[in-house]
Amino acid sequence: MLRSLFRVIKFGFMNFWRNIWMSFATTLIMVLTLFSISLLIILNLYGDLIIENIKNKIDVTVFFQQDVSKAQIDEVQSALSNMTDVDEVKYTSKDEALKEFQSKHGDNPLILSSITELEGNPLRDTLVIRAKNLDKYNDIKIFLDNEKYQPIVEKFTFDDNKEIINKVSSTLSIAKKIGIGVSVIFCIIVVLVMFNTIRMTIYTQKDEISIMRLVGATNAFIEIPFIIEGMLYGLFASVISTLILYPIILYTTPKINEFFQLVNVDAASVINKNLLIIIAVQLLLGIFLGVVSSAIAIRKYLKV
Amino acid sequence: MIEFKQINKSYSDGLVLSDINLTVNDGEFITFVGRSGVGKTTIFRLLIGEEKPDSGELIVNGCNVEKLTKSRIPYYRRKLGVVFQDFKLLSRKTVYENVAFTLVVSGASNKKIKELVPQAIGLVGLSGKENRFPHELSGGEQQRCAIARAIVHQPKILIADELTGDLDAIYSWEIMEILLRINKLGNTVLIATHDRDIVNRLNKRVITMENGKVAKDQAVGRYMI
Ligand SMILES: Nc1ncnc2c1ncn2[C@@H]1O[C@H](COP(=O)(O)OP(=O)(O)OP(=O)(O)O)[C@@H](O)[C@H]1O
Ligand SMILES: [Mg+2]
Repeated sequence: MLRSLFRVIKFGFMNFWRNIWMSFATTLIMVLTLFSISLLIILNLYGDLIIENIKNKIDVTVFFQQDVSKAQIDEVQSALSNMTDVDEVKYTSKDEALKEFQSKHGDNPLILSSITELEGNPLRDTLVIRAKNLDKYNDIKIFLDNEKYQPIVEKFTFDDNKEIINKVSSTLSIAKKIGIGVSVIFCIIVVLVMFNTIRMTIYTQKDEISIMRLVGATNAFIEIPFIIEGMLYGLFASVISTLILYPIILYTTPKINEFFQLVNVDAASVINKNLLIIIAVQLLLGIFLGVVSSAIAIRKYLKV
Repeated sequence: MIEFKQINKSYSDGLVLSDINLTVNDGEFITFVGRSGVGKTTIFRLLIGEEKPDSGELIVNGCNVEKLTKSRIPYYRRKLGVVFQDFKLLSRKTVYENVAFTLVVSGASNKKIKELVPQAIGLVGLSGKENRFPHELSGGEQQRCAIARAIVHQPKILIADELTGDLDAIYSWEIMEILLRINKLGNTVLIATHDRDIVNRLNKRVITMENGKVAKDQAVGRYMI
């Protein structure tokens, strides 16, 4: 049994090597397919990362009037904290803000001197509010618009990144749709090409196969080499695709970090965390596509 | 033992075998003769399960061949040795590989292959030509190679279709001697031939076919057509 399995695998390899050029072309198309699917996965990962990053940057900043007391601010802070939609409320006093400002622009004498020219601290006490969820900012806005707060609140700003997020996510979803479409088309092409390759192998071995039958080979013994041949395409293609993919990942991750100014998250670590999954998906999908196309060819051209 | 019971067989364009009744005992050497197209090869095809009879029973060593399922046929075929009218050698394999093929396919161990293949090649007189490809052999040598492949797994029944086609008389008889040797070992041998001299020289059972029927069945037969 084991011996036959070994022989059958060997025959599969022989099928593969025997028409190496055709195998090469078939493998290439399989590589394209697996590569496009990996890119789709990576696009997904990057997309989530970028949106998450933009969401992290959204907040509402409340600027208080100059003469508002700490107690009044505390009151607003606790009222906000009690809202179910609010995740975090952070208080920064104007002194702290000034210090931070000075240290940030410490190397720019022009800005520093313009600050000191002003009398007193031009900055305001602030509360920075972060909602649990993107949709909740509106509630916070309504809450702050309350007349009760008008005397103490000078203004509040809302970085409305919603539009950006919508834009990014709609762009991403279009890209995903295109990616899925391209991948599906590639899958169909690869099955057709592989089917044809296996059909050719079967055709060139017609005599051999009929002789195998006559000297007592079982159907499994005749069919499995073609299944193995199909699997080999998937195996080689996934290896090649990974070898191409990895340098691309290494090159692009820092660029992504930089371009989208990712904070707290790092493209490279996300990809590395998912690298095994990407490789596994390629390998399994490659083998699956190979086996399916072989099975179709066998069904069509080998059944007696 | 091989038994044909009321076998009828037709192809799409008409009846080929009608009402064939035959019994072949173990260890017999039987020659089928008859005009071209009379159905000798068809009988062999039925025997190896390549074709099924329209009606009747074909029993080989207690096994109903016409009832074998597709998945059982390979295992049944491993008990037979067949030399085909057109040899059916694998052109991309050497003599050694061709002979070993029967064993490889049926899952024999490498040790067994190394032991049996040289024996079979020696028996047909092809020693020294193991590494040649079929197209590097003469017609007679190809035939020997086909015989070696048919006997390498030591089947109890050897079927040889139209062995001595276009070989000279001496060479043909040499081939026959190989088959006689295999028969002497106790194996059943069934051959089909058009060679009058061979048939007359064999002094074995001859079955003469005419119009799809067994016309004569003589224990020590002569070629009479
Ligand atoms: N696959 C087939 N389909 C249709 N007719 C067939 C087929 N095989 C054989 N025949 C016909 O059946 C008849 C018997 O053929 P068969 O090959 O058994 O003859 P044979 O006795 O072996 O002849 P020969 O001595 O020339 O080898 C012939 O008329 C042949 O044309
Ligand atoms: Mg014939």
